[in-house]
Amino acid sequence: MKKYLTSKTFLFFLLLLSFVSSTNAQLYFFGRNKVQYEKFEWKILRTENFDIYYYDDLDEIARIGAYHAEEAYKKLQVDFNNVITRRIPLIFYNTHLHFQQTNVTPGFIPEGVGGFFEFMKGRVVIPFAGDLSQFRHVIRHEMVHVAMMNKLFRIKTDHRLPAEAQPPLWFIEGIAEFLSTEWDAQAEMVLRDAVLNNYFVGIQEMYKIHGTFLMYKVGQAFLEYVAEKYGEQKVTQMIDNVWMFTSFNKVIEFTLGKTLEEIDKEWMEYVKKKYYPLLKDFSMISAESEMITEDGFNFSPAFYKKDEKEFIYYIANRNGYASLYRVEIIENGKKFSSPEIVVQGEKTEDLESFHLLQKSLAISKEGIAAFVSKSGPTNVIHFYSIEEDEIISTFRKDYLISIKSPSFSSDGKRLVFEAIDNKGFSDLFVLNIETMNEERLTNDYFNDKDPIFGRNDLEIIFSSDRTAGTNKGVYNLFNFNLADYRIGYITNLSFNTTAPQLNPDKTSLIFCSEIDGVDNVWKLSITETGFENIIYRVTKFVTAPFYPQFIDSSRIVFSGFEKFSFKLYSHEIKNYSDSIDIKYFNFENTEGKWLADFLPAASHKEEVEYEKEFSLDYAQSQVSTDPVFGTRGGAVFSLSDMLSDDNYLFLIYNTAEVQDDFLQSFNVSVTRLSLKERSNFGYGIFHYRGRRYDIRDSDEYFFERSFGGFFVLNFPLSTFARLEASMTVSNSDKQILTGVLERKALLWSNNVSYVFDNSIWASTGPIDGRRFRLLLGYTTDVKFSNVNYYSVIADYREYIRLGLRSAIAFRSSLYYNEGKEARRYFMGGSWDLRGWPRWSIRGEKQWVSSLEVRFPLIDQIRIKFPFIDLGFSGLRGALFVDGGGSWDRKYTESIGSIGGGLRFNIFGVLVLRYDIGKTIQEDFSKLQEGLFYQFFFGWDF
Amino acid sequence: MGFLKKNITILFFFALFIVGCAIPKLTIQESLLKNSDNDTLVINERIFFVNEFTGDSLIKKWENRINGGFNFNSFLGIDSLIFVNDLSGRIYCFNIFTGKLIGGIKLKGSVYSKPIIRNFDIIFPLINKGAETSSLVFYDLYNSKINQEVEIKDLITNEILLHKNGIVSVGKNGSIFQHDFRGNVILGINSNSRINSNPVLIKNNLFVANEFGEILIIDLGAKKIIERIKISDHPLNHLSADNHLIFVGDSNGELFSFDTQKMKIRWTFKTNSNIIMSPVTDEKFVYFGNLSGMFYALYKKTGFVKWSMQLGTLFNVSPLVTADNIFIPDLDKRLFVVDKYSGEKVNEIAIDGRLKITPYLKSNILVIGFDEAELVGYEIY
Repeated sequence: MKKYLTSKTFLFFLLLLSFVSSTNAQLYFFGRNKVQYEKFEWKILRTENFDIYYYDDLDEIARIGAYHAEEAYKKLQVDFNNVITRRIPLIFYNTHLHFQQTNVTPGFIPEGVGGFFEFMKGRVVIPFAGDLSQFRHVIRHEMVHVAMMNKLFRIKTDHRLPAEAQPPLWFIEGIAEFLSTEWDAQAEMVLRDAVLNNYFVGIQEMYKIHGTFLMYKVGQAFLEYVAEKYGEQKVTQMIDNVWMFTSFNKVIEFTLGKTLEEIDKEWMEYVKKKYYPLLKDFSMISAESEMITEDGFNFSPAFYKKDEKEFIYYIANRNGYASLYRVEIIENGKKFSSPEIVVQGEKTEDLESFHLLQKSLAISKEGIAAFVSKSGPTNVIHFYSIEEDEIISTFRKDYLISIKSPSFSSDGKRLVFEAIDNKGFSDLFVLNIETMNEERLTNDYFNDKDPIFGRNDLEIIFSSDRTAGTNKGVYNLFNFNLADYRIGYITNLSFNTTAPQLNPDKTSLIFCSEIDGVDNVWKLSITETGFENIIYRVTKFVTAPFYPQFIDSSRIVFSGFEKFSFKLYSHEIKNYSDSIDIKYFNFENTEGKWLADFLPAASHKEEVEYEKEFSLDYAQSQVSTDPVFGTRGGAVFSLSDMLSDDNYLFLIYNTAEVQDDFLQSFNVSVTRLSLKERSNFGYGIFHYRGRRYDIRDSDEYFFERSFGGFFVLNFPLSTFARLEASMTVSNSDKQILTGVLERKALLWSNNVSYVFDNSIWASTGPIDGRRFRLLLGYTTDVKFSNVNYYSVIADYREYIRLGLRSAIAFRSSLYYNEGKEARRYFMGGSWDLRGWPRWSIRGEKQWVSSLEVRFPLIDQIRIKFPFIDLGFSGLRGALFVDGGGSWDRKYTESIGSIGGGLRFNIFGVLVLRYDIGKTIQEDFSKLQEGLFYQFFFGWDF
Repeated sequence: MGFLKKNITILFFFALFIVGCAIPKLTIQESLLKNSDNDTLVINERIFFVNEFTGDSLIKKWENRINGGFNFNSFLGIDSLIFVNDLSGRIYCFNIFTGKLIGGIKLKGSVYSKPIIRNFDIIFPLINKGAETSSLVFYDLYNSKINQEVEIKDLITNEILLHKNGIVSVGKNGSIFQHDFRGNVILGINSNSRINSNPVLIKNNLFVANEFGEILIIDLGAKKIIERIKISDHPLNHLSADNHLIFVGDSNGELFSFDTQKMKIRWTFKTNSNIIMSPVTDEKFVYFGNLSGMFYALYKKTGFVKWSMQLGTLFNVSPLVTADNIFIPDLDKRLFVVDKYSGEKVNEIAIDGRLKITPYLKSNILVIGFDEAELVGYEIY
């Protein structure tokens, strides 16, 4: 949920700078785009300890968030026995869609990230997703990070120890969960699944689940265990003791007074004793149900029947792209066909992303599938005709940002759904499909979700946290009368109850409830007088089924969580009659509404419009020395405003080789980058002076002084496509041989590009999708006419999936400069023409094409020595053929290579490459004698 | 010559830099260490109550810095000198009136406990860096050298005490030691419990509180634990003693008054949050604060409330009580001055960092310590 962010801004700027500083940059990048669709009008709410940044109509949510933040602050002060002496910036976004647009982190934010704390400026960034209790949880979670990091820094500073070392990630996230929330159904589900399916790990093996959601919950579970067995104070004592040892394992051992082996042994025994007995009364989902889908993450099932054929449609991610799938039910429900893609998702702008873990699909009897995807700035509902096999219409409203849980009326003419508007409220809407007009049903901060049409089309049944009284804030089922707009209780349970569904003859209502500690399916009967006050168990699983749907009166289909994945299952409904399988409830004390906790007006210090306050992000200096260029040193600084919408980068270094040259040898550049709006632009000035070796030119060093300015523009058309433009004016004074061979020029360079990228990556490079770039450029010397050429770069790459982890990759590129003093391109080596000396082939014009088969080779090798285990995993292979040509004026020859190679990703940051093969020479007519062996690093093309 | 001039310049500034960063070795003149009333000089007590009338306004007189952080303990003072330990393994000595650094001792590790001065020795426990051991250091103040360094197989994070026969130290892992003044071990007991509590000595008995909510009584003569009395279900924090009464708070916010003659609880008082500090007593009252910023004055004998108030944020460290006022350090960068009879706040001073040491008072000079290893001397008027 939480993310720690290390600064990637420096790399981003370096890349940007390298793009800008050379007019015919060859080392460009593709990549998707973070699109700022919205122009947020930011405001600041200053409270006692926080500066809360919010925008537009989010003021009510901001004040609720402020209350929870101050509450968490006071609690954590005592928990950590520490006071945070700076004001904490807290940035709220409305919905995850807006959150994904933040510039606070330059990277992309996956769906599963619920908020993050970054430590450059100590900012906490949180989306509000319509659920107040979840909002409170995330605020408290991130505040634990803030408080803990502050305390750690304090302890290390007091002891004069290096402050960089941190506890392991499982502890950081575990303590954040431990101190911010109770042990809930989701945590229980994950732990049960891990223990009962034998992939649970102890502290010593936490590296195996590093970075996963399981790690969060196992970390939390361990600390819950420590609190229970050793006392709650032991958890924070681990922080207090962190100065004692460099190894955090030793800190744990010291704090608990036992070795890690003993602690792990006791803990494993504890969890086994806790969970193994569950199998006496509860069952695995797969043991009691028919598995429909095996691979990937499968969610949101919907049943459809036409003539005698029965289908399950669902949203799944089986290959890296989430799409709409279907299977056919065959052999009377005993078997299912192989999944087929109905609508390919996540490759085009209108189906940019699907929301896997939410209910987002419904199918009418008439064969219209309504499903939700992100398209541009908001979610939309697509209406897909099964008969016509195409999307026939799309519903979008700008003020409805996030949409979930569509459900058809019985006549198929209306659709009810839940949506979050620009105030952050999650409410119910009914859409008239013919007119595409929506009607709002609720309008408040209660989270209303999972709506369906009820006993008739004048009734909506839904789940909401508006429960008042003893069960205040718990999700229960309600009905909404469309005739008089009244809301009534259907259930009043003290356990969260969601996902209602009616059986085909509308005599019973099934739903999910956390009565057992995890979700299971329960039902209540519908009589002539209404809904009964008794519920009966339908499923008795150890882990949870989600969003059950009826196939017929005796079978349901659902997405079930088991072995850490979501698969679809079909299940015959059983009757359970033990006393624990029946629950009664009443409606005492449910009058009125509960109120959210707002920060009292007196606690606000002020509410102001946002004005940029710049502060330092980082400052880094370096001194280097080498036998050729001597010693040089420099520094880079970055400033940005609180939202990182406006960034300044300062670079300064000195390349003097003799003392007299010192003052003249300063290289400086100042760049401003504005990311606030959809068009991102940057501009700057620079002065570079020193000896250079330009691999595009001859193998000579030359001296150059250049100074000037540049402007860059980046306009994202969508997540996948963008336009780029840049202009540079540079006064260049180049001396290849001083006094003999010199070139002065006032260079004016322009280029525009179109870039597209919808590829997804495996561990060593792209494995599906495509990406391409088309660049047109023109460079001229406006003063001395020494330079005058135009440029074209066309680079197309496509990846065709063969299997889940293998693909055919194809690339075809043309680099073309024509004119006076046209710069040369370079190729050769592991990144393009394999087998040829790296960057040895130069020409003003070049082409290169490659065809490569990428596949997994060795999944894991492990060698156990008596003292140490050594191993690595994810060795991949490739078979390739490359071709290319390079020339200045006249085409010389075509060359290439053929061979195979190994690829290995180290720690997710570097790919080592080793290729063996033969070069092809003389217009593909001759193979080299012997083989070439080439080792280098770099991602696959 | 130009080369020489340039390099000498560089060397000069380098030397100046080094000199500026160094601290002089701690040497104290004999005259300062001689107590005119007694041949044996002993400076040991934690001084939380000074029976002098003070003003409530402060004016800054001097400031200075040490290296590491403070550990929620107290200063050691003698005449014009004030000694302070830090968590980076150093002991400093300052002139309380001018703030001038007299000297320091620099070792590798952390010093959690206030030191003790006995004759010409300053004695303190040093937690060894990277090891689960400590060293009891005997440093000769007159000759500026370490006379003895005795290894202790525990982490001495609690205050050491001076007994007539030697130094008593209590480790975090529950070990209780006594060393004579030559460093020989004369007592070594394991209490089998974690101890995060400053102990107290009453006559020949050592009282220690542990994480199980027990008070342990160790007879130093018999060299054994003679009683283990459970008074709380929660870990107990720092003790203070007033004649035969012991006061201690627990992590659940309860304050206990324990009668060491009757060996039972005299009274308890419930608050709303963890009580970490050693409570401070004067003639009639006991004063303490908790981690919710509440501060209390209770009658020592009965536990009845004289006054209480929501005053600050986090009260971690014992206040300084004078004849009329209480100087209360708040972790939230504030120093409160409260009238000790009425409980009225008479002054609130904003400080530049978190206050982490009990203030020290001498001749109207109040010394405080806070974050970033800062020391400030105020004149009270």
